[in-house]
Amino acid sequence: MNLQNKNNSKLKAGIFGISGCSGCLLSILFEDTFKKINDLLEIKSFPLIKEDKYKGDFDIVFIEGTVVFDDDIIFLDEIRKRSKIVAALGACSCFGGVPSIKNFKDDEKTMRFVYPKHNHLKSEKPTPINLHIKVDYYLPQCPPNKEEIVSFVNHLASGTQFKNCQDPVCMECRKKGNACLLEEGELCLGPVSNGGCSALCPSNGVGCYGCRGPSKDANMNAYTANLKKRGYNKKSIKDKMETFAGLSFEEEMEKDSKWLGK
Amino acid sequence: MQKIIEKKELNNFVKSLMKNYEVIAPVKRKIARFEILKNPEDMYLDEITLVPLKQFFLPENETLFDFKNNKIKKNKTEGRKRIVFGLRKCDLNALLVLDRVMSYPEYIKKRQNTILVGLYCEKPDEFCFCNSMELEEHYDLFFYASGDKYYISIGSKKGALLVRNLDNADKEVKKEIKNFKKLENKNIEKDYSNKKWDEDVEKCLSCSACTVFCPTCNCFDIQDVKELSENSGKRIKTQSSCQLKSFSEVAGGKIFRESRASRFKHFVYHKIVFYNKRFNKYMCVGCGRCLRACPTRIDWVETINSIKSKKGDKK
Ligand code: SF4
Ligand code: SF4
Ligand code: SF4
Ligand code: SF4
Ligand code: SF4
Repeated sequence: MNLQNKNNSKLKAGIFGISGCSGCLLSILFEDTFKKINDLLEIKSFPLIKEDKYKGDFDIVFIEGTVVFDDDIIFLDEIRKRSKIVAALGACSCFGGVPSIKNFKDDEKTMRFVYPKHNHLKSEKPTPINLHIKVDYYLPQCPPNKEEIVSFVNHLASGTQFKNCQDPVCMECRKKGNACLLEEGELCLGPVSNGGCSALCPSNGVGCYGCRGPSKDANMNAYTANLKKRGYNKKSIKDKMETFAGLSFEEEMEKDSKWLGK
Repeated sequence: MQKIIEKKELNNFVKSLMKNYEVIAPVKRKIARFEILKNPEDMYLDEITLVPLKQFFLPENETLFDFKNNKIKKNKTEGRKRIVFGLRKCDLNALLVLDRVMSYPEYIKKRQNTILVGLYCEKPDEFCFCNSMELEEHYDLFFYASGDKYYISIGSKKGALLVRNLDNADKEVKKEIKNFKKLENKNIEKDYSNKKWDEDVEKCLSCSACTVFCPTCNCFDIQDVKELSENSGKRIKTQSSCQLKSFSEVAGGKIFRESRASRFKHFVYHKIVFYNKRFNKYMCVGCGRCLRACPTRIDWVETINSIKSKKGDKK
């Protein structure tokens, strides 16, 4: 989509959050990310740092957070109508993120544990934004990747095609010459997770949690069979997958029948 | 004639080389790899490295050129003189494999500026099968350990200069590497559709470890990195892999090698068949790194060995 106007004016942008921790929004402010995107975009709304009085349309909006409340849906519907492009920012917005762990737990038990005295509270199911509105681009990761944000904005402003990394985390991890954590007895989702983070976690000795979502090319059967040989059970693998992108991993796993069977 | 050096003098010898050259040698971090030596004591010569040497000739994210304000600035390769110490016969041959396909100036310059010092393999491990791959003798210097000494064969003038101050050997020491593993058949073209491959494909995670650690894999991707606000950017070369869907994806989204089977088999067939058709040499040098690195323990060499090719068997 080429958005560049004839008079070469900057793209009108909005940066919003729904139910989330604001970490993604903050990561836009860190270091020189903000300066770099502010050079290319006319940021009309960014309620985190400035009261939002703008009522007009956008070329691009970035949305952080998970859909939890009805208000979130109303807001998304409105913003979708006002913007040509919507980009989901961060693991919550793209996949449901940490809040979506709730989808895999006993709701009643959790409610009573967290709010023992508030019986009137109603529990909602946290979901990613693409279950509610059309999403044009994804900028996943928790928190999102600053270089990817800058690269995305550069592509948008110059009218060239932006594409997320589609290779597994292992590719970047091996290219760095890391020792494989699986061989060291650490559970790592690298082989079934989307890369694009320069294998951030394994490079620092922590197994990948799949915060950029499952790889579309994941061989779940082979992966889980291999992990079982290494002594992991189904629960430990599922727990890890449910950390950031459980709903998406579940979907990907369903395609591999053998994994479901056992 | 061979030269000779006491084993205990090796570190001092390497130290003396470090005065005039950048010396690259195997070191052991968590896994063995090649690094620019800071200290000769760091050298680790007991086993083949898992990470191959190739990054020193085909660096990741190599800038091919920069541009600023519509002007292109060609990246100048610095011509630092280097010595690589402790290369195995397989590593040395891997460079010959790359030489036949890598003809861009940055690569050639690095090759010309690098002196190669080989080391005889005392202990091939269970994955080494170099003897099956018809390797050549290719080195500037080659070290054979014998007792408390190294006997050094000289392969070039550059090599000879480095050891001119060492004593001449009183005898000649040469040894043949003894592998346990063997690739029994390289005539595998007609076995492409053999069912045996399916078991490997089913286990493959398409993680790319085999190709990233293979010393002869050289597939790459070209990317343009833009900084629009500064009117600048650069074109970079990054390592890619035939195991990835992204590698064979073209504009419009068509992926030429979509199935995992076609990607997995391409690796094996490129190494044993396709490259050989063009250059009459094998692309695989039998180092076994792909087998050591595979997280699901796929062993394509044993798969080939297990395929009993029958005459007239077309499928
Ligand atoms: S540590 Fe994880 S990401 Fe890295 S190679 Fe091993 S499995 Fe892949
Ligand atoms: S390694 Fe995995 S969990 Fe860590 S940042 Fe990358 S995708 Fe996310
Ligand atoms: S290392 Fe093994 S699992 Fe990974 S792509 Fe190669 S053959 Fe497949
Ligand atoms: S294919 Fe495997 S054994 Fe052959 S050169 Fe590459 S890594 Fe070594
Ligand atoms: S493959 Fe051959 S040359 Fe290479 S390390 Fe093993 S024994 Fe040595």
